Amino acid sequence: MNLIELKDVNREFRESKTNRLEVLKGINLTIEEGDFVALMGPSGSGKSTLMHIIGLLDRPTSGLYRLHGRDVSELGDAERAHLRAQKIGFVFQTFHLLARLTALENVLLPTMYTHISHRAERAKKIMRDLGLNDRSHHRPNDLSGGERQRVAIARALMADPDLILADEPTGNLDSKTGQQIIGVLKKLHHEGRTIVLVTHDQAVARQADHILYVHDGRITNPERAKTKSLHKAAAR
Amino acid sequence: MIFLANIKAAFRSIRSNMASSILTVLMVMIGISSVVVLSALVEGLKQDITAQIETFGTRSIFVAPFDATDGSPQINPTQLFGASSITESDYELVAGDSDIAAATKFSALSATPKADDRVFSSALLVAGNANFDKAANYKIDQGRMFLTDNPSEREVVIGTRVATGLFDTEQAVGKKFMLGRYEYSIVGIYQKQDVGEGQTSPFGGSIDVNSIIVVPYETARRDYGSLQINRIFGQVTETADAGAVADRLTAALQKNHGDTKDISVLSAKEILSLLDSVLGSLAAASSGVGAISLLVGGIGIMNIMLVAVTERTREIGIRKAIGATRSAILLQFLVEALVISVLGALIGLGASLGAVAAISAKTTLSPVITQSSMLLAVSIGIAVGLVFGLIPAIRAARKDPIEALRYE
Repeated sequence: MNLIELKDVNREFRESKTNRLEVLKGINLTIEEGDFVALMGPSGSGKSTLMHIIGLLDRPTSGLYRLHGRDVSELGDAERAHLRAQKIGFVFQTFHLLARLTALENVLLPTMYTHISHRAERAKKIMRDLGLNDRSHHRPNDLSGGERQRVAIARALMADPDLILADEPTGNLDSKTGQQIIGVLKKLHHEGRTIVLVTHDQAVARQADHILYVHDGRITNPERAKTKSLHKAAAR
Repeated sequence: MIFLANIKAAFRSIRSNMASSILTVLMVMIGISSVVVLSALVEGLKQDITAQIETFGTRSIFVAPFDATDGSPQINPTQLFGASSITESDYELVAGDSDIAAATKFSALSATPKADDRVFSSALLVAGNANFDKAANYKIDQGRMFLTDNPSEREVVIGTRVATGLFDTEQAVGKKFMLGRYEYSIVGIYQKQDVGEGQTSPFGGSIDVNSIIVVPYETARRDYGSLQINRIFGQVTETADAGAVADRLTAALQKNHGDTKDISVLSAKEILSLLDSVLGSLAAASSGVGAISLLVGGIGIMNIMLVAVTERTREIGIRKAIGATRSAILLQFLVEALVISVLGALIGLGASLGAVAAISAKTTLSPVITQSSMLLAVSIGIAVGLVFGLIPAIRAARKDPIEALRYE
């Protein structure tokens, strides 16, 4: 089943009264449940905007977005927030942890915005699975980059989302640590989650099941978007 | 649950921004405590004066040389002395009224009491009739009232503070002292009343029974020449209604004055209601002062919250990305503003209690913090937090998550 379906999605930004910047131009994209897709492209290609639209942080100027078969293009702010809380986990390049909170408190943050049962146990289990059990009470500043990113992944997993959106998750990490984080994402993929990974690192992108190239607001290899993951087929 | 989590988060961010948080809490504290202390002072004043009026009794009436019937309070301390429109015939009219049980003239004199080399300069020297005690409802504790029949004997009745001021003892019956050129002997002491020194009486001037010296009217007239009748004090009979008698006598006295409104009769009850309006305006004025300081506190809250919203733009972006709705962000920042203001209100309340205790101990004022003023302080704290926290909270809630996440 299709998890994500974009049809003729455009996104324009108004730079001034007369000048409009077309960042996404007629994007058609389908991502199936359980896919591991890398979005690649140079900076300014529109891949981040695409990810923001997929992540319900932004709206298309025109076009259709179906998430789980439901049209979400016209949803209000509150409903989009609820969907983000329940269905989508974000992983960012700069981790985006709250410095004032401990690792465990950061992981628990989503529980403020959606109901999660057995939250304390769940947070501890996720952190243990990610090798963070002895880091629970450290603050982000006392953690290494890899540890911080794993805390961010733990936070993204708290609400048990179907979709993980990772925006340059290895961008601030050395290659060895970056590889560990990709390993974590691969593991999540094997558990059945859908992963969308934005990167400009070819070596990172190659580890996804398939790669979508974004260039100048268009996907240049749309046929790949419909290619079912062989990797996943093998796993099943 | 969310609310509790927000309160916890609010304390955390207040801790992380300790210096300016403390300053803001301080601002609110000052605002709240100025409201509470000022209203406590007004309330204390009211209770004092009410108690003082009650010592005169509910049957008391007073004739004053001005019109106090039009509702505008003209209670002016300086009017106790000076020119008075009250005449001897006014007194006779009042004293002869069938509803009046006792009436006395009340004439302020000026002379300094002296015993050997001791002077008591803060005495209130008054000439009155032999029934002054009954008419003014002052009880004699020791000795007796003077007898006007025998003016040559120069008898006086004094308050306890005069006695201790001149003789270091309240047991002063039989002792003599000088008033101007003449020597007077003390025949009675008024019962001590529990009122602070220097308190202003509602009847104009400081009528403090503890500091009073009452000289027989006839004796005073002989020794000091012609006297002004500054007031007439009286008690209505037990069956009469003081308010009705006062109204009737006001009409009679004004008629006696050729229909000029330069005289009126007040009952204790009426004075009480007049006072209520005076104190009401005083309370309103002090609330105004408090409101201004609260405004300052409120602006402080708005300032710290606007700074917090800007500084924490990225946090807002992160929270929105992981699913916070606008209203959740709004609530978060509103709760933070509330925590600061309620904290300020509670500390301000504590400070007020301390200040009021100190004022009571160190001065003659006796401020009273009522339960309703405590409740008011806390509700004002909540209101200030809500009102001044709202704009920053709205600003936080409206932030675009993508731009917020990019904020450095």
